[in-house]
Amino acid sequence: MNLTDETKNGVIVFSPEGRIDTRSSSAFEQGVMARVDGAEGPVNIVMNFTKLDYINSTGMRVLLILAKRLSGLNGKLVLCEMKEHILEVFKISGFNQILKIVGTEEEALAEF
Amino acid sequence: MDEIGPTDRPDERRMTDSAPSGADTKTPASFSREIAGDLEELSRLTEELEEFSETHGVPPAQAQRVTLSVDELVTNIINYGSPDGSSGAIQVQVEVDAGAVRIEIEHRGFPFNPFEEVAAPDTSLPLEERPIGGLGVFLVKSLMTSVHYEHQNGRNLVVLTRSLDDAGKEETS
Repeated sequence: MNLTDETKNGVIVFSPEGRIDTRSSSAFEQGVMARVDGAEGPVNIVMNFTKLDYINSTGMRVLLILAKRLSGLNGKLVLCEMKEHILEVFKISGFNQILKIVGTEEEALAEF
Repeated sequence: MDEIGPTDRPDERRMTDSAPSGADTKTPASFSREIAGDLEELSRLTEELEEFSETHGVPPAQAQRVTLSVDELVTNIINYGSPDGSSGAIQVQVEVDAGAVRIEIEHRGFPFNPFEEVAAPDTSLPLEERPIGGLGVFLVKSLMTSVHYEHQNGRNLVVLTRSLDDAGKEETS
């Protein structure tokens, strides 16, 4: 898994690439939390999953932790560009009820 | 406890693929791996399993369900291991024929039935109350057509099937 990020209009857009599995989820968690830890104001994050091929429950757990953290900071997490097979798993898990999932990155940025 | 015999050495790695390779093979094909309780090996196994499914004509959506199910259950075995502390070798066997994928996951350890002993998450809870974790086994049950567990001769065996007939679609239970 590779993780890149850029900031657009004050929103951090993360683009994980490849596979987030049990082994790589800790790198994913550290990479994301490095931008959240120590923040004093609200932190807003978009996860762009265009290049994400695979995520298991360990990686989904990181998203849950992140969403909880951001909501504690009066910030928000929005997910976008999710492949169909990944969206299926998020729906089965009920994650589409508790996390904001939209189609495109443009739509995601419009959420803030 | 030293119930692991000399033939169970974790570094012994078995790799066999049967059946001819080549896309759209409709004859039964099997994938067999033995890995030590190690996350790096698990990553490699899931990638190899995806390649295997692709090679043998499993539709991508179904292949993802199979990969994820194997990944979740083996992750649990590695993370929680056997109560005696030895995760030991884990055997994974996957067979594909025209209508279904059949998966066997086997490892030595005290009896542990993940389908009964892991509590299902309440998927209707709001974000603040949603417990972190407990999701893997639930996903396996949801994504597979059938799940079965047995314990025999000191070994835990899980058998999963995934019908490749998509007519039945999602049974989210």
